[in-house]
Amino acid sequence: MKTNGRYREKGTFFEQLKKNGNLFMFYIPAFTFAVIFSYIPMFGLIMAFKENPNLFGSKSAFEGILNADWVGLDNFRKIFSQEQVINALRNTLIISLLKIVIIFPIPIFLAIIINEMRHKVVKKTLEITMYLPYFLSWATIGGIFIAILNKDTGLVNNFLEWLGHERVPFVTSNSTFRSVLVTTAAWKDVGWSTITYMAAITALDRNQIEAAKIDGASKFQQIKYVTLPGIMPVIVVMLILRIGYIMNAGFEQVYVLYSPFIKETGDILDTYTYRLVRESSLIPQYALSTAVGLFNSVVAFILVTMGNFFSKKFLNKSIW
Amino acid sequence: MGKQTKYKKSKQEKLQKLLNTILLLMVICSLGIIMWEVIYAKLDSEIIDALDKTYIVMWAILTIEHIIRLVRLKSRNALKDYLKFNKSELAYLVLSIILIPLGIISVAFRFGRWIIILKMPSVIKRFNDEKTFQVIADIIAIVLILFFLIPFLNVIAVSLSGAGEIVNIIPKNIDLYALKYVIHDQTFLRSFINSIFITVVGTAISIITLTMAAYPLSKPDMPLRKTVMIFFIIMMLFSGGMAAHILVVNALGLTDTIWALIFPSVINVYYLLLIKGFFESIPIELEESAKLDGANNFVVLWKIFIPMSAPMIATVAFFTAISYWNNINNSILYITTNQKIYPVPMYIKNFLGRNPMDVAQQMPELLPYWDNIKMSYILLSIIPIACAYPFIFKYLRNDISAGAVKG
Repeated sequence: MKTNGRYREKGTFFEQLKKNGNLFMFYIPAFTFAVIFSYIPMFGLIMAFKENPNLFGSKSAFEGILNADWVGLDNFRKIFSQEQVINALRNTLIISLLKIVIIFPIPIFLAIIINEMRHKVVKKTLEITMYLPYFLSWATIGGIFIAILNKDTGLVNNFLEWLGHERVPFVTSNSTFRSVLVTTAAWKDVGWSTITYMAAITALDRNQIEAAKIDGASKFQQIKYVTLPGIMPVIVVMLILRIGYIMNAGFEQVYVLYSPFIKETGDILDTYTYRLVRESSLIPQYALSTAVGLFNSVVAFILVTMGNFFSKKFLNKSIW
Repeated sequence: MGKQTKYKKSKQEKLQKLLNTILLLMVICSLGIIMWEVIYAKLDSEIIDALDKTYIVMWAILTIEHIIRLVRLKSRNALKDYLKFNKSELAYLVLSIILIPLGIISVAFRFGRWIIILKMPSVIKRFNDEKTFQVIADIIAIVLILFFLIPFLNVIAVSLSGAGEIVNIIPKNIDLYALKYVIHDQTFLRSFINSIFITVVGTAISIITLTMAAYPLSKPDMPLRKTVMIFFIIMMLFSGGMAAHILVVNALGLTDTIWALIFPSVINVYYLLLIKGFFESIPIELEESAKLDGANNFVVLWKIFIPMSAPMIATVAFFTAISYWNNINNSILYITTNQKIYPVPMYIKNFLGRNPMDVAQQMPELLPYWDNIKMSYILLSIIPIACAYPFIFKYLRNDISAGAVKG
């Protein structure tokens, strides 16, 4: 707010200020929340270059952070020499990539299919059931899937046994945990993501499809040569945005389904940073946690900005 | 004359159609055999043997028919067309002649039978295109409906069932003990009240804050507009990380209070941009004429902008409310010991993480119902969303058709 005041004196925007200056009042609540819950924590990023603040010995957290000694890049050296962090980084990337490769194409084809479906009852039932999971909390979804994938009583294992297979501890086994993550993410998000593509398809020129039909194009050809190219810009934008969030493998989801058994394949950077602060045995490792978090958000920032740049340049669409 | 040729042609067509149907059935059966052998592990070896033989017989028939068809292609053009449009069928022919006999000799090559999938498109292609598409679409849709619905059915079935039953999707031995226990659980009731409080207050604060900030941002002649935009966009891109957020909330004395579940997620920059964008589309003349009548900025915002963008604000409010209701991130980060303020999702997460043996010492009668109680909690937490769902669904449908208008 102070800087705004300074500009006011300068008089560069004098006319505008005279007319709209009192509107700055409208910013006050938003600024307050933004500064307290976004900008002050950003100041906390300096912890990544300092020793772990001694919060018990100092008056306030602020003072503790300021008084801690600078250690340069030591924290980063420390975290990248730890097998656990490398493992978490690898898991983050693998889980995200799996989700993109497997889940991303599904809504596109689903949207095309739903759009062409004639069977009203089936169509409506599918629409009703597929949006619902998106509105549930990860805690609820985690609870449901832990129960139905349970080794002894779970529905899926009952079915497997009926078919003559062995029971599998899906959620607590390293070999199956990632597929559980992908399946639950698909269950929650597939229906919801379909909406974007359905809107894009509805916006297409219906005449083109009719023309293709008259020219004797088969259904498959109509989809391949008319519908898909028509929604391609939307697909590309969505893919770019999705890739921008590759460092975010889904903290709530993994947290809910996590157990020590699947540390090797399920521990992601977010759960690792969380454990450093909340569950480490002795002192919360704020500095190390911030270092991991900073690394994570720098990579994420580069990806998001690059994605936005490309989509702005080639498709004239951007998120801001 | 004309009549006769027509009759003749339709007879030929009928034969061709019959042949196509038989081919399709054979391909589907072959695929079914392979899948059945993989999926159903309890088959006797005799049956497996019989199935294998059936597969090979069908493979032989398919191959002979295919070769006859190829030989009958007389002109060069017909051959060219065939090569262009039926690559996968040709690949199937070549590969299957190698792989299937190998499969007879050694079990290791049995996976080769899956190449029947390559044959599928060209067989399906011979049928009415629209009809086949609808059938395939229906099959996919039904599989997906089952995928989305079965978890819910399981939740309902388990929570209604008696103790110790192994329940899939139909309740067995109906017993309402678990549901009754959960409904009478005072702490769970309190978590509901917490959730309602968080959702209502959080959404109200969030919407007021966002609309107020969006109003000046939407004015083209507002000084420092770009700077303020950048100020907000930085929030979207950078984060101080978990540790810093925890420390800030701690320093404010909000840890373990209900406000820690509300304040940190008040500002959603994406929604701010949405509202701002909508405000920009409101004609400036309305505002100017109101100002001529002596209205100040507050009045303009309250009497013109908010009523005119009511649908947009309602949408944003609605999604904000959903995200507050479902948020567990804040509870995970900012609640350490005070379980009294757990919202519903966190209460459930916490309950699911409890060891049944600990509970058994205090209330041994609960132990047999443990699974049922868990599912009853989940069921009750879904009910509010399920009640709101018809409205959500209606809105989503409108949104999709609106896409057609906006373009």
